[in-house]
Amino acid sequence: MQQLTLDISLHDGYRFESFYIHRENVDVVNLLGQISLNQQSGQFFFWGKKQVGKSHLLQSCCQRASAAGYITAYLPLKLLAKHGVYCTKGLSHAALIAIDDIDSVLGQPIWEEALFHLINETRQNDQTLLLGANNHPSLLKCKLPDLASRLIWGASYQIHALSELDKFLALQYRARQRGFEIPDHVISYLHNHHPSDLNTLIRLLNRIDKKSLATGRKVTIPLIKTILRKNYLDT
Amino acid sequence: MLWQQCLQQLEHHFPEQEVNTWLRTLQPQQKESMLFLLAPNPFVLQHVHENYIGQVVNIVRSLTGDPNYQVMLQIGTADVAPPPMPESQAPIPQSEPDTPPVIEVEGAVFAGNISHKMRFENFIEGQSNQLARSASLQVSEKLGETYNPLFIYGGVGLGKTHLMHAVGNAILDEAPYARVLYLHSEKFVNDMVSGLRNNTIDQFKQYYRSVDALLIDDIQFFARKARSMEEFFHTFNALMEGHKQIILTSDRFPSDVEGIDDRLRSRFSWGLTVQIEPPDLKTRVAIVHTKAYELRLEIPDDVAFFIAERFRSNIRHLEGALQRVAASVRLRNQLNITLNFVQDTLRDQLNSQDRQVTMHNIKKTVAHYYNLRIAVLDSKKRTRSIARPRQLAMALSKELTNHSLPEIGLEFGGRDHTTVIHACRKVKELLDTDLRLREDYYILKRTLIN
Repeated sequence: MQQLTLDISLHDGYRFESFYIHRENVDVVNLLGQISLNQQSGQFFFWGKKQVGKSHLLQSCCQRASAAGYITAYLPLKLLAKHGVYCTKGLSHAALIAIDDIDSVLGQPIWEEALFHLINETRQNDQTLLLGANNHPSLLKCKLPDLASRLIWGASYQIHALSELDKFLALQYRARQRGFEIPDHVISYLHNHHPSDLNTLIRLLNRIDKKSLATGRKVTIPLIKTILRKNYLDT
Repeated sequence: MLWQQCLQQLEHHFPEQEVNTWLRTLQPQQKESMLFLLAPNPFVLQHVHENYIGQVVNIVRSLTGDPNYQVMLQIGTADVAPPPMPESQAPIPQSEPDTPPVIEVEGAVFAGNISHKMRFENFIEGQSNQLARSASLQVSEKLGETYNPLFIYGGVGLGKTHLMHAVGNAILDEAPYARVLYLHSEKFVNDMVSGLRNNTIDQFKQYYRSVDALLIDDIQFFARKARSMEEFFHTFNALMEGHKQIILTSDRFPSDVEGIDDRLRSRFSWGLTVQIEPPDLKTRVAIVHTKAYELRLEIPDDVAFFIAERFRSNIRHLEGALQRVAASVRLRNQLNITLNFVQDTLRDQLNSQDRQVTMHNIKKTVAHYYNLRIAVLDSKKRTRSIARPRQLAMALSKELTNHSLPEIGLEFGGRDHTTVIHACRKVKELLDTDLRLREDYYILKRTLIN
């Protein structure tokens, strides 16, 4: 008999704990952990390709700092750009400001100037500023030289992408965090039969989680096959 | 604390990104049965009001067990004092973030935004900034008497702001009650707008005209802001009449700053105009050592030389690299900073830099600058209008890339490495004698690096 599952969000949250750490990202994650507890102030730039976890890490940092009692501001510019530059104003009270997707507004004079002033202010107020973009700061297409020189001011860190296999191991890691196991041979099967795009994998994880909870079954290859078949029928 | 608990619960009601973007930025202040939530700007205020405030009120009332507990959402900031203060001591919020500047009581120390970190003592002097440093020093010794205004111009990240603060600190060392005000031009514009909006423009004028030294950074941002320029024009005149010191900086020569009123432009040139140029290798090495010392790093000479050699564009670039090294030293508990360790730490930065400046890019930029076709640089033509840009491109390739002399020669139409040596020598010689070429060289270098 199927068990009724509570309608709870299967979102793992933007937490350091839910971030699968690739060996090349160990330093970056440790650094962000220190920053979030205000052990380091200044300007830090984090860059990497799409889906490497920049937003996850920046938000983890905000969440932890906020939980410690600091005021934080997270500005995902890809979403906020259309509303104008007002969101960059009045942030002098925030101990930590994280600006995500810088690349999405570069080339727009009004945005470049607003970011330039924001960086100046954070320096003057001794705030911690985290910047995230899809490329190294010196390779970003920035028109305002004053901003370009400020983007490279602090230390910059690359967030490295996970290998194909690592993405599946990240799935296994997240499952363990949710309290269930995906055995190695199932991971191996998925590696051979499922796309490795992280968003798709997370959606799959949600389905596996729900299905195994509802049926009370362990995660096995037949269960995965059922889910994938249903997935296919749904689409 | 109440707001922390509330945020924890809000995470279950709204997507986490929304909580991070809109709610964590609110500054809580508790007073009796009331929670003030201060939004940084009207944009956040409106969004929170429209989307979250109802849920916030419900959670706060449920947490306090008081069905009449009030939550007030307003714009403003209170003094920042993290970690949170005990509730009973929380200050009453200030409602307006853009209150006009306050005139201090006579005899009190004037809050003029001077950074104590930037002083003459830690400003590294080199050929590129000697004149600017010496002029600044003289200005700080004889306020309003020697060069007024002092106009410092040059590319980004070369030390203009540092010199301004150094003057400010030198003045304050001698006269701690002097009214020395440093600000970015944007702040002047914002204060003026705020003065107009709040009907406190007279206070604004009085404030800016009462200083002993006014140091305004990046005046190019006044461009096309007519009312601000007009106000600054009057402030400028009032200060000059009162023999008060003015120091201004910009990224270019006064007459080249576009969108600035002619009257202002001519006044900028009344005193002394000095340029800061990119530092040479020797100066960069000295800067690395000084910055490393400030970061409490012991950097051996070979490492300092390596960083100075590879991060050439401006001082901020050097600083960024050093901060990265400092962070890695702490994270990995590294005892000795060796060349290998630094190369490994800065690997991705170095890679991206190598990708950025290529010989092809240099040829393309130089050809575009002199309105030539790229192919001409590879040709056998030796007329001066072609040979000079070619020599410049070769010298830039030697300076900005890690290619060997034969590789550079090969790239420029299969020339011999001795031709490249000759080009580099010629350009070096001309940099001291030909002002026009010198300017071209630095503009090209800046374009390529930034």
